[in-house]
Amino acid sequence: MNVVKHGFILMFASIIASGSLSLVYHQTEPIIEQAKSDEIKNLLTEVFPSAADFHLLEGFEPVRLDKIVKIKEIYIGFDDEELRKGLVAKVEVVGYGGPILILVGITKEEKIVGIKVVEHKETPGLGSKITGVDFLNRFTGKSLRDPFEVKTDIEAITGATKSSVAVTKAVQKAATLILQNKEVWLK
Amino acid sequence: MDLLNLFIAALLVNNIVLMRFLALCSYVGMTTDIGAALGMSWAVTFVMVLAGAVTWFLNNLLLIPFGLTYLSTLTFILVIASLVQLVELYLRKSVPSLYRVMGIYLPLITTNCAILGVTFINQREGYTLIKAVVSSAGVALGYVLALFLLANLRERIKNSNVPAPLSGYPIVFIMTALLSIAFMGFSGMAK
Amino acid sequence: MKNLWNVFVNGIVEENAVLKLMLGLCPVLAVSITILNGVGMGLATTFVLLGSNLTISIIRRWVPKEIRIPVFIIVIATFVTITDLIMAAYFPPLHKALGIFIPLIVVNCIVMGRAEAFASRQSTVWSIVDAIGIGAGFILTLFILSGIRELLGNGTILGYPVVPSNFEPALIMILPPGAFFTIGLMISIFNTIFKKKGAGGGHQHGSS
Repeated sequence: MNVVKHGFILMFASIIASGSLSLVYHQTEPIIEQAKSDEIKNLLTEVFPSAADFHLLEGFEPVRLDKIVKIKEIYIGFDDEELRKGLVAKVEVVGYGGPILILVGITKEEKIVGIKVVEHKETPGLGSKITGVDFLNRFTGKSLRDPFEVKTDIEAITGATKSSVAVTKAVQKAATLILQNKEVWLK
Repeated sequence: MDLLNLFIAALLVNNIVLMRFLALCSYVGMTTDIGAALGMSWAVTFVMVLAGAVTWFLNNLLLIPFGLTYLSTLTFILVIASLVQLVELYLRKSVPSLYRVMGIYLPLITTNCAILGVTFINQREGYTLIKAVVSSAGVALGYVLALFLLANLRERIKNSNVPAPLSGYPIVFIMTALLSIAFMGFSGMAK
Repeated sequence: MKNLWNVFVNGIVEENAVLKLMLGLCPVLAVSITILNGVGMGLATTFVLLGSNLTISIIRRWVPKEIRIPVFIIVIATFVTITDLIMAAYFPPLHKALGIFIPLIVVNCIVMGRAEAFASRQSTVWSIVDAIGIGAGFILTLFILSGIRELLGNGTILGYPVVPSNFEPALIMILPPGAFFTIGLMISIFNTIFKKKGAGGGHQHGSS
């Protein structure tokens, strides 16, 4: 008898708990979604300030370009008149401590306008310097046709060669893919 | 290769105790004696791998298809609590030899945050079943390693002359800080 | 009134969850990289503590003894998920920084410990005061620890640079070893000030 009663109480408690959670969830869900899309928009604007709006490139599947580089998403940037200004590529590359997630903004003129490291697990104080403007400014303004090689045209961070090479390689591979598809993506 | 990488990362690079700060209560509470530390470790290992697999099925067959991921905290903790009860019951009846080794520690691990933590990590990384199990095993053995190291260190420090204000827990944490520095050397070994 | 005050102070000093009872260490060490994260974690935990203490003290007379633990777990998990959702909606950066340590409040021994030791036995008012006292002690500990780590490891307080430019921050303080080192010294100082009762080491608490 007790078992039945206890089971009933536990069931009752679970139902109340799930019910109230579903209530809270449906209240907060639109706000959470909004906050998420706001955050993405802010990041995209940061690497491509001149675009007013961004749309995910439809039909694009993540592609692995190399043992360590992967393009995950491509956003097309539009201006106020709905004209294409360029694109932002979300690239993942394996660094020293784990995956590094990078956003690269590229104009129709095949130039890099902005680059940002969104997530990384590099060593604090050394590899983590890849997030700093000192390093990232070495990429802005460059043409997609540049070699993007450490020692040739990009100077590595002292003490964080592996992290620097990873970011440079990510940009190089992404640039090659974008140049191959420029007729479709940048026009 | 991928799996080996994942295993090493879970075992050493992101060691659950020394790098991720989980399961600290049992880490400082159960290491006064090497035997107790090992009994606790094996109990946690057992339940952690089991929980990693069970919650994977729950998450991928129930929570995600029905859009109920907001219930994952509630379901995971209840699943772990019931799992611990079942394992205890089963071991006591069927494998008494194993029950003698880890049985008394089982009731203590429902609220071991490493186990729940592993299920959340598996969920957030979106691992496949095999990856979830390998990663859980790596994390679990990392826990065993950390407890074993500290238990041995505490055995040695028992007869040392520790400055009075530091004796007890403070010196344990300072030893842990040194262990943690050593483990930082593993970063970069696996991703 | 004086008794209520005693319950409150008790939570901060005598039964300081972290420094005295060694409970809830995991989130404390993990999130204390900046003051904002530390205090955010403290507030989230206090909210859960308040909600679960209140609910449990109300429903305790209908809950049979044998199944009280599962019922407590359900109550706590519910409040944790509510906190998680609210933080994701209104404080997304903090929510992201605290990561899995928000859902892990559910196994924070402080919350379960108070439910079992206090809320299931006392009246509603007392349980609320107890939750506030324990929560305040928790927030205070987190504030001091994260303050020390942020100042020495990053040279800032609440994100504002406060040290002369020739001070090189000791990076180790915001890495895991710095957390263990600082908490060790904090416990030692706390014990020395509030007279240590019996040398530690015999603590048998197997949970989280």
